Amino acid sequence: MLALFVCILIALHLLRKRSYFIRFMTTGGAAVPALIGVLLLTLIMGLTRQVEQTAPPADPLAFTKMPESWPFILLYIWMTAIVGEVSLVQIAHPSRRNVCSLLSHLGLFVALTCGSLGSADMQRLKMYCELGQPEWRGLDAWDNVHELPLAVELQKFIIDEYPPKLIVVDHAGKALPYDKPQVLEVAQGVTGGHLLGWDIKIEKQIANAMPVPLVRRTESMPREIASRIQMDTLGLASNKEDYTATSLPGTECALLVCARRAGQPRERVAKGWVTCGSYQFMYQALPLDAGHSLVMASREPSRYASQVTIYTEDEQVIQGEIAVNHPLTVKGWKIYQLSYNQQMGKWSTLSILDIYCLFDLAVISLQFRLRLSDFLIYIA
Amino acid sequence: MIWNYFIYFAIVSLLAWSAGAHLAWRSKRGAAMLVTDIGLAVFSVYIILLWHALGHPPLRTMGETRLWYSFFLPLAGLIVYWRWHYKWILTFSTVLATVFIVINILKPEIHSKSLMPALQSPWFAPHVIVYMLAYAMQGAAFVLAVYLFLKKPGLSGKWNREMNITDDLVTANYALLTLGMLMGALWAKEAWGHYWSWDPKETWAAITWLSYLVYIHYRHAAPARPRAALCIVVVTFCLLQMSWWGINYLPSARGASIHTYSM
Repeated sequence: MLALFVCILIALHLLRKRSYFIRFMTTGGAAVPALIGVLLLTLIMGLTRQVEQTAPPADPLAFTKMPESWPFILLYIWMTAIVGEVSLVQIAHPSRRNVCSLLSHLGLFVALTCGSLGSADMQRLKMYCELGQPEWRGLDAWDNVHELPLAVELQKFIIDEYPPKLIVVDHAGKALPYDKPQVLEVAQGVTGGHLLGWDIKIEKQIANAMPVPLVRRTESMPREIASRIQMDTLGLASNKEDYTATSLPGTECALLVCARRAGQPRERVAKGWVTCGSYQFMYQALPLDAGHSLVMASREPSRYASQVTIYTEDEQVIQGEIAVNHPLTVKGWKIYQLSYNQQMGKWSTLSILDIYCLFDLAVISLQFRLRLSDFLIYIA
Repeated sequence: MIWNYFIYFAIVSLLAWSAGAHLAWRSKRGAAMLVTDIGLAVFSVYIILLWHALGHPPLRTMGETRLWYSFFLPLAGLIVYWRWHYKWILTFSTVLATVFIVINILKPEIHSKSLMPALQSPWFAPHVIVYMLAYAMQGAAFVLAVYLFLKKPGLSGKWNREMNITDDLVTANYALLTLGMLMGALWAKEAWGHYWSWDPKETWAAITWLSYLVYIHYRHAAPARPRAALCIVVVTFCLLQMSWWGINYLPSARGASIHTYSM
């Protein structure tokens, strides 16, 4: 399709002397209205909420799904054709003065054609990899199953997390102060701090903690069954025992906190466990006074990655790690870390990967180089 | 907390920039540029300290991007002053920088140290810094355009010196925006696997970028109509504000953008 488009443009260029219209295509008189047209439609796209990729447009002109709207596509093709024609004219009549302009037009032409016409050829699939189970199927945007020439087996899913954060919330669970919530970060070695007038002392910190009754109940169970048991708020409220460190899956950081606030007529003191909870037990807050509680914010990942084994059709076995911003390239495919089971957090046994065919990578790097050289020439 | 010291660095920098603006009016070029440089140096020391304290480049939140904007505005002003000798540009860049510094002092939007995994990329700093520099330069172009529109009603002709400066500023901005956009595309490819996904922020970046192209091509097609071109610069500046912070308030973009500057 791309090759056909380029051939048509070259044919038009050859007929340039015979046709006023083709000559008009390379003038500012054609470029400015085309640009304004694309600008206006993009503006409409920016101002209207766009529907999901798999959903049909919500209006007859498809402005709610602008990249698939005919007015947009036609204007886009017209603009691309103009850029292509101008590039051809500038290639046919090279001059020093026009180098910047030529590189700009050529770079833009490559970006426009490969970004749209080429994207039809691009295959993007989502893979759901369960721990220890080779997966060779991927889902496209419409949930159709595609078989791949390689299989991915998740060996280990790793999450590094930022230190736990304590915040004070109101009765509705909103962090205080509303405009600029204060946070107490409990990094390794931190024994306390101040939060909204409360003097916070960390008396005990357990990185992998679980309520004692839950440990007692699940430690002798098979892992599959244990992971289905959940301790709800009622269970936690009746938990008169502590949290304990354990190697069982489903643990989360728990802090034994003593909060004091000087006041009249007497000092207020609150002491208890605080945790953000895991898929096995609910969060636990420490009530400070009427309407205020101390809670631990949900843990934020600083990095997540999948250690995988990849099996190819020619019986190669490749070990590798896939992390956000660090995709893995195997046999013409590029695999990205997309997501994981966020409910299970660091205990996720599921890694969601995105897998692409490599063909379009070379194109954008060419385009980038053209742009960069254009910029450098401009600066010079 | 390092943010508590911002006001002291800001006051010293603003005093230096104001002195620079004053000296520029009195035609003391060397002294004006030196004092503005000192202000920039003091401000950059604060940015470096904040960077060190956060453990990552201070580019994630609105407050942090405003910090860079306040830094790049006087820098862009200084470049224009050095290159084209405009006395008033330093005053304008100082006033604009003051506005953004005051917003940062009153509503700092302080943020946690956490940087989500997708933002941990070598593309992060150049992508945002290039954009902030472009935004600041466009601020200078906007001020120049408004000045020319109001003060020089008889402006005409392609080779007018002031129009040439506007052209140069817009073209340089266009190059910077393009670089920022391409870096963003390459980064998105590494992080999410696609270069462009018509995310609201990307859509508005494209709108702004297209408006630059309209200006450049309009100047080429109709060089004898500078006043209309100046109007395009003003519109471009408004679109740029939309793509920078305006979309945070746009109902169509709420919850749909991956480029959210969050607490």
